[in-house]
Amino acid sequence: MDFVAYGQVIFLVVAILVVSYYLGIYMERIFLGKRSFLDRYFGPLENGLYRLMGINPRQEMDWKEYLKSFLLTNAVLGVIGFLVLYFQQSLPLNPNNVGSLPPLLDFTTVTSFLTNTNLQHYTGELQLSYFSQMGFVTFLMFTSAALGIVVAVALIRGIVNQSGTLGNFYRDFTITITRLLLPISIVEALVFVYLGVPQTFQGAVIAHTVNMGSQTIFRGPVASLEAIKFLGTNGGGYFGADSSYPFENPGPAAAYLQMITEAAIPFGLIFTYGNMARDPKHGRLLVAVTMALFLAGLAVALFAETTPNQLLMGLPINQSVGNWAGKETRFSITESTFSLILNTYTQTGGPMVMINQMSPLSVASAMFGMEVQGSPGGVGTGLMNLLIYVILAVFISGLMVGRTPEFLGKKISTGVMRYSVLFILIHPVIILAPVAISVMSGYAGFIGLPPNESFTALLYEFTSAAANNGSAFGYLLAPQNTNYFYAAEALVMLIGRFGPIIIAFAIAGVLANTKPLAQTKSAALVDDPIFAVFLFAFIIVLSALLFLPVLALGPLAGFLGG
Amino acid sequence: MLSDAKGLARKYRKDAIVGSFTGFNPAKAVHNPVMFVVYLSTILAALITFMPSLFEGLLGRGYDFYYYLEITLILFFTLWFANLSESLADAQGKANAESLKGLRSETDAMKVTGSGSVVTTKSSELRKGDTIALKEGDTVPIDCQVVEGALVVNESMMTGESEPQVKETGGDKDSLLGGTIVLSGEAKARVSNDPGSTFLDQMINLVEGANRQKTQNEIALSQLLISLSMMLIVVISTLIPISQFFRFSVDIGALIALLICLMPTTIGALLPSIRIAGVNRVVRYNVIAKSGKAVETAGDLDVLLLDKTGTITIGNRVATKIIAAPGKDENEVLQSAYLSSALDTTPEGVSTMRLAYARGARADKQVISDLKPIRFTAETRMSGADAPDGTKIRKGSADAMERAGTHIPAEIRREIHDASMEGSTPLLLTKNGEIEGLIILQDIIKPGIDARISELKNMGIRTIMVTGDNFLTAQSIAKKVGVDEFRAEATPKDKMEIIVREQGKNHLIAMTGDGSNDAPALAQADVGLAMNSGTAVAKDAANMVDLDSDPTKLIEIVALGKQLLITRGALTTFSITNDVAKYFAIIPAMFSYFIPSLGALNILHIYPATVAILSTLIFNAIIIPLLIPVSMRGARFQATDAPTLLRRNMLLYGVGGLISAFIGIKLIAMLLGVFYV
Repeated sequence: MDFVAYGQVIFLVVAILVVSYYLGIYMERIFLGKRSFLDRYFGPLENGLYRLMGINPRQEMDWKEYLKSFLLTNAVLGVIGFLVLYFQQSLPLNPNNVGSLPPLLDFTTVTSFLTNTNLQHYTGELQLSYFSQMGFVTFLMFTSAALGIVVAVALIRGIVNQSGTLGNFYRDFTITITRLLLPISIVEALVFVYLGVPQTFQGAVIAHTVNMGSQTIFRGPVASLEAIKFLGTNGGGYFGADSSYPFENPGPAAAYLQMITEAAIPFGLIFTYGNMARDPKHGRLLVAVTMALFLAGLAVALFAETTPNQLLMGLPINQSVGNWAGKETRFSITESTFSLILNTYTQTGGPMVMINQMSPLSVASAMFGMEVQGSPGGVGTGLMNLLIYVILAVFISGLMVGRTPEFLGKKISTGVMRYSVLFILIHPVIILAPVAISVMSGYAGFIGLPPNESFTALLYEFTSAAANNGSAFGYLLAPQNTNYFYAAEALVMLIGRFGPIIIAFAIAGVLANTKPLAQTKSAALVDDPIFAVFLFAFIIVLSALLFLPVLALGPLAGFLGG
Repeated sequence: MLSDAKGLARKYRKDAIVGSFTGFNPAKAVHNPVMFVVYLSTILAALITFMPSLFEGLLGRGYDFYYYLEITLILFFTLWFANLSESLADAQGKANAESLKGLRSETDAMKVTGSGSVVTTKSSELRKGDTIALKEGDTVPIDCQVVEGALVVNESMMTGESEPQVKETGGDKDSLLGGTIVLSGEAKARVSNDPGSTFLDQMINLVEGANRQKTQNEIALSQLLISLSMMLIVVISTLIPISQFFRFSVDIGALIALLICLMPTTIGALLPSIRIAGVNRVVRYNVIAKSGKAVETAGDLDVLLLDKTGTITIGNRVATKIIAAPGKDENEVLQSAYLSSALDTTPEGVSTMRLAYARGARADKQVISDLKPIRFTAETRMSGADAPDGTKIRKGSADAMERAGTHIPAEIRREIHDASMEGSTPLLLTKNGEIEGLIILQDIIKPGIDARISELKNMGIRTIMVTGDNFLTAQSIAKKVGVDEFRAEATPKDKMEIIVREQGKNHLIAMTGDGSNDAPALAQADVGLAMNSGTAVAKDAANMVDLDSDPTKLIEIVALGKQLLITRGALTTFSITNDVAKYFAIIPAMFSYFIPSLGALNILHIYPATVAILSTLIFNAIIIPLLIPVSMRGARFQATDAPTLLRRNMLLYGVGGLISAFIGIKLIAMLLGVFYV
């Protein structure tokens, strides 16, 4: 790595921290319902929506009511999404005349976008109409991001509140879209248009090439999707090649903008949490821990991408320029690697590289990010995961200093603990069990790669689905196992999304009804750097404990030479 | 009281070893889920050893009888060590209980019936509310309260207090403990508890385990450990099909070894003994905790309400100076002081007399016996003596004197003020209403108490001193010892008010008390420590009783509560960081034959694979008995702030766990290597 590479990393990290800090303050303001000059513009719109839905935004909900509204909204969106894809042939804005999606692929795709995963088993430009791209993909990108964010907000309120209530779901959901996601996306989409991303309802262009051939150049309403794709840590591309395609990612300016955008809300929400909990120092420490986890993952990947490949050692190949496999030459190795790690650690999943061409060690690092989930994780759900880690770390470290563990003044009851340990149980089970089942059922046998790479592909796919990341390793599908994987992934994505969220609501409910203890000097452990060190070590050791054997058999063995 | 417990513990050690085998009873083993997995694994390993044909295709590179036998044996020892730690702690508890039970032998009691006649009854047939008669030489059959008469009682067998205690009706000294001996006097007493629910019984129950439910905190930790174990079961069991994907058969023995090594067996095995030993330690301090929860709550306290008298200062004030008023003859003043206190049996009176005597005041026996003592009453707030010639000698506080019409000259006033500023209590000495001089009483601060209070401060605990003294005196003492807050001229009602106020601010607060009027506050406090010398009502209201009647012990109890939690947290951390080293030993051992590149993870360089697996398992087993002393003694607790404590324990048990596992496994592997060459 040279000076420029370090410069690129430092620039991105600083930009992400600055943007997320201010966005964190902005989000705190909107969720606390503080007055602002924006009320004049958004107020009437929001009130209109509330009246249309027939709800009272000031009515506080307890965790069960909040959860019920949350699940109901998801169900309605899921059904609408399924119908849009199923009937896209007869719906408007279909200049390329694409047909309807097969039901099982339709179901998997709906699940994928509903759960903020954006795992794509279709090729956007070939299989989706413009209406589906906008009315389904882009629409669900907004709602799934907003639904993730409200989970985090509800959990924060549970931690802070003493009233037993978590706020009003419909208000939170509405303002997340109107005040946060829409305004930023609109502005950013225009910037993307300026940078060269297409935004049109006209059909594909047939180009006649110099050598007398013809080429179909697909286009469509891309820019409007691009902004929310990153802002909401969705990651699903308009085109099959996602962000490595120039129409989605025309150059360095767009690439940097995308990377800063995708990290803004996940990191920003941690600042928001610290501010809303009236303990900004605690928030900053958590940002430091998540950033440290991310940078550790990045360091491993950068090491892997810049050191010579051992398998090529004996061959007359100059490896001094680094490992360019799977990367766009428009971007540097550092930028490409940063994109991979950021896209997996934020659960966005739209990197500008071909993941399966990256060094196995980078792949291991990427998977580790998806296994940790909270570093910083997807919008809302990342903070949710991080807070569960915090609760568990507070429990053990609290014991180590001789106090019944408490979290920001609230005692960690057996109820909170029971839910928290159930929460962390879900993730490893829905990765490892489907992997084992795929092997036992024989469906994994159709993956056309050597065992080690097949296994890595299989593990990556379920890790990505379980973490609702959506980045794709590829190579998985063969005609004999397509339906199996469609169904299995849909199930994993659903459990991976809603299982932890339902439990998180229950935790929020218990905490909201817990009377806080007075903060004393010895209780302020979560504000001390030593707690941050403990949390960092705890997250790494816990994840390693669960995933080291499979990582060793898959990517690590690949890196060490099969 | 428990001096013979050590000897008894030796006696019970044999029982402990026997008891450790009863732990293999599945009905008992299932109560500890983490160790129950070890239990099942041991059975599985035994099955593989003796019936390998059942496991065709799951035995890696082939069946080796001795290898599986070794695994089975190590697992068996892991279980046994776990059982042993629990039964050792149990034995210690039993020894404590036994030495207590000796005090609870059946005695005859003289029950006073409704008609006034006395019948002999067995002590076990007495019921709460019955009245019994006691006289010299009797053993008090059961906890009771004096309702008529007075007794001198030897309580040393219960409390270790060798000085005979006076018990009389009214006031704060009316409670009698079952098992103590009446030295003199005669009295009627009302039984305050049914047999089986006396303090002694409660204490025996607690140490014997009848009352030993898991606390919320231990349940929460168990949940974490169970969840961790379940995750590891998933991780390990999915490796079987996954290895088949790679077309090799992973050795199920290695998988069992990996599972057991990675599961938090260390903390899982020691958890019961930590709990039992925690309660035992409290008993060793001669404190009866009515529940294990009370001990843990003690660790969470962040405000302590300390009585000045007895906790911060040595019980009684001592006269340190006698100052003559201007124009008075010093010898005459000393003489008056002497006479004023000659018949005063209060500690203040005795010390005044001693001081006056030491400075040369003398009086005839005849003179003294002619004096008519005037006792301190709440109305007059002064005491003294009347001589036959009509001379009235009085001593009392300045405001009491003033109220009685005594004029206090400015110079004396200044002396009074100065003395008060220093935290002394000035008493005016008058003769027939005319000021003779000042007697300065001083509080003797307990040695070392200021250090203890600053320790508490380091731990983040706030201290509030309450005293009946005036503001200046209280302020001066508060400043000297460094308490955070004080309440002067306090009544028992004030204690209640402070507790309610602090709890309203969500603090956890503890107090000590002995009087009946302390009872509501003792009950209200999160931890109420009653003095054994106090009234039965106070002891009933409290959730802990100190048999030594030493209020300073509250500070020790806080440390004990913290120590209990620290031990749990420290051993959990130790258990988890151990796993890192275990992974580096077992993963290459399991896979590197089939995937040679994973041999690079064998950073401990242990060959062959079976040695790596066995040495990791052995390490996992022997770490349990090695840590039994930590679980029984408790992790060391230092009175520092939380981050310092976390840093220290993270280094000691976290990093220490990591390093010790690497070193331990390597050492065991080197030893085993000798046999395997």
